[in-house]
Amino acid sequence: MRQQKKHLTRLLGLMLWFGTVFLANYVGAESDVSAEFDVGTGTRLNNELFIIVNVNNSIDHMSVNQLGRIFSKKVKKFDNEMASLPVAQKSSRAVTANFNKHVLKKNEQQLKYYWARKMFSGSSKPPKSLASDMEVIKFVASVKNAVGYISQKPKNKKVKVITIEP
Amino acid sequence: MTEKKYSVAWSVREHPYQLYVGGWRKMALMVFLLAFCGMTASVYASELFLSELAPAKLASASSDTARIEALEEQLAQLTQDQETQRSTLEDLLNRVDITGYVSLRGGKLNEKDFTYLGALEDEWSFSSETTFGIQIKAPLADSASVLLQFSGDSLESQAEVDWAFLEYRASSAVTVRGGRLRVPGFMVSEYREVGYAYPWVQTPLEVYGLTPFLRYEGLDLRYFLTLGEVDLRFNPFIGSTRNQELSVGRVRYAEQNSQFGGLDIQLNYHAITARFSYSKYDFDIVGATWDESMEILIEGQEIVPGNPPVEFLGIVDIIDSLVGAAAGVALSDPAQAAAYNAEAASFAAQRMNYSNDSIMGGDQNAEYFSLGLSYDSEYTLIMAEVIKGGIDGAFPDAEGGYVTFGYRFGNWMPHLTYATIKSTDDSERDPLPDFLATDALWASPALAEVAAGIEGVNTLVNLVNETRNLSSPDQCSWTLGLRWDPISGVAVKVEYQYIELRGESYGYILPKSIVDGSGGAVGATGFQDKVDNVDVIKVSLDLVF
Repeated sequence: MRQQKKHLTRLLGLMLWFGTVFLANYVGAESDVSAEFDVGTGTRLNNELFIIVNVNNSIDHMSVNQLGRIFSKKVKKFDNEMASLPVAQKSSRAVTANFNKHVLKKNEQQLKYYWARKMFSGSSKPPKSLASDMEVIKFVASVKNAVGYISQKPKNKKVKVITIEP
Repeated sequence: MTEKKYSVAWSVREHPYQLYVGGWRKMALMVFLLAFCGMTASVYASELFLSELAPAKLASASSDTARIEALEEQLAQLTQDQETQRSTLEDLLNRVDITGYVSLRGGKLNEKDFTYLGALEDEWSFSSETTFGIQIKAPLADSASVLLQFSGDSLESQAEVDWAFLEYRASSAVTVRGGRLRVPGFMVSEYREVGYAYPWVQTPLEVYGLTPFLRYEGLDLRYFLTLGEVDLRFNPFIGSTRNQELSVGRVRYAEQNSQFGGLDIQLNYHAITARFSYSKYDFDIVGATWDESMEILIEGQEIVPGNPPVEFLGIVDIIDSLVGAAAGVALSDPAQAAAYNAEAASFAAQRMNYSNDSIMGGDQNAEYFSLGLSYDSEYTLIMAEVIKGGIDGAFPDAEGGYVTFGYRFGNWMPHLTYATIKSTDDSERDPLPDFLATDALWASPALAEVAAGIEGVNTLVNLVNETRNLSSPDQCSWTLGLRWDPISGVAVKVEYQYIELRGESYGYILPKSIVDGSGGAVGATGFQDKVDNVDVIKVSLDLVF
């Protein structure tokens, strides 16, 4: 009986601690979220983030979820059956943070956690990351299967912007 | 008979596992490699010829101007093609990926003389559960690659090969892998040592402790299927192992050779992942130290040969001499003589009870089912797994499971886990019955030696029963932890775990003396008493790069 009481007290203590941590952080986390999601995901995606593919790729739109799956390498092809080759930008770039937040719904640490699990299970590795919008455009222009994200509308005729649906 | 020290059953891993590649498997690997080299060469050759043949089209141009224009266009196209090809090639060459991990784990438990499966003790230690590894992935051609992963831990003197396989992508939906692979099935079975890749300091032992081994040589096929927004992966596998140790946690039971196969199915839908797996094994178990110990305790052993030899007397040896002693009590009173004769007959009859029917060695089958579910969204993490299975014979078969809830506050994640395991085949390790004697017959001081013998038998019986108990896990645990990711690629974790050892079970909290083989705690009265609950504190620093 006494033993049981000891367990209960201990469990209660644990739950209290859990609760405190939860509450202490809840306020901060909440305000953070609302600030980021003021702008609707769809609006942000098609005005501040441009998803480009090679001009020879027949695809012209996809859902944000599908885009996320391609960049997480959960699927390895476009809806038109063409193999997909996603290319990212360096994690220090603002456009990457923007893309990760709104498309992959992960911050840098969470993304690293995701890829660590993929890589150490002998499976896929993260998309190659390039240094700038320019490099992404050049890459997508020359590789038929590529898909990338950039922060400004591209002028290069060999790439095209696709519409992302929420 | 009184001062005996037994070095019972198990010892901590002694032999670092050696990679075995030989015979037909080596041949198969060579053939595989050669086939790939050939394929790669032919792909490049065909591309080379195509680009040289292209200018032939020019002949069809009619006028000079048209010809020049066509030529220029062709040239531009060629240059571009070449550039593309060069960049893709450079891309390929540059993409030999090297990644690695370090998981520095430490902890202590609050009970003296007990260990958390031979790893954690009652004093802080950082060396026993630390793991590290390095992975190299190199493309061979567009559709083939090689992956190698070496790992080590603080208890091994040399590195082990976790992965060493050649992967061939037959299409975007099918890949075949051959070589050294890791046994799939559980949510994190492929990266159990990579602390960074899961929320806890260690994977819950109540589920992950049941697997017989981690690596094998064989083949697997992975078939990817997408149905709407559901991604499925079917992964049949087949393979074998040789001279691998068979251990639970750090406790080594035996060595095994095996052949096995199974199917692993994974489903992913948005934040939900489900995984189901079934596998079946044929084991050939050699060097089961368990069997040897049981045999010594029951049947005795000659320690030093000679005339007369120095012997360790087992249960049946002592009973034999007790039968003789009881029959040899010469008395003139016929009623008393009859009583002692009856006692001798009873001893002889009871002798039949003591044989070792709890065997681990030889051919054993095994079967495992597991089901895992996880929900890993932006903020919430829920993970749950159940497993059922085990190896036939005296090895524990069990049902285990856990549930984890976690919630992310930016880079902090507190989490709570409940885990449980219960053995389902205790009848394979039924306790031996107590040795019964009529105390009144042996009360006389003149017969004290016989009385001591009777007590000695019961001590040994008790020791056998307790040893069998060690392999009947029945425990549950609560773990409260906090994971903090200060920067990308680094995780710091703290955990408090409360473990309850139900009934007679030692669970995974074993007496130190059993694990290190010193036998110190095994006195005249058997094992030291088990504990009913244990508090464990664990910390870790996990890196990936």
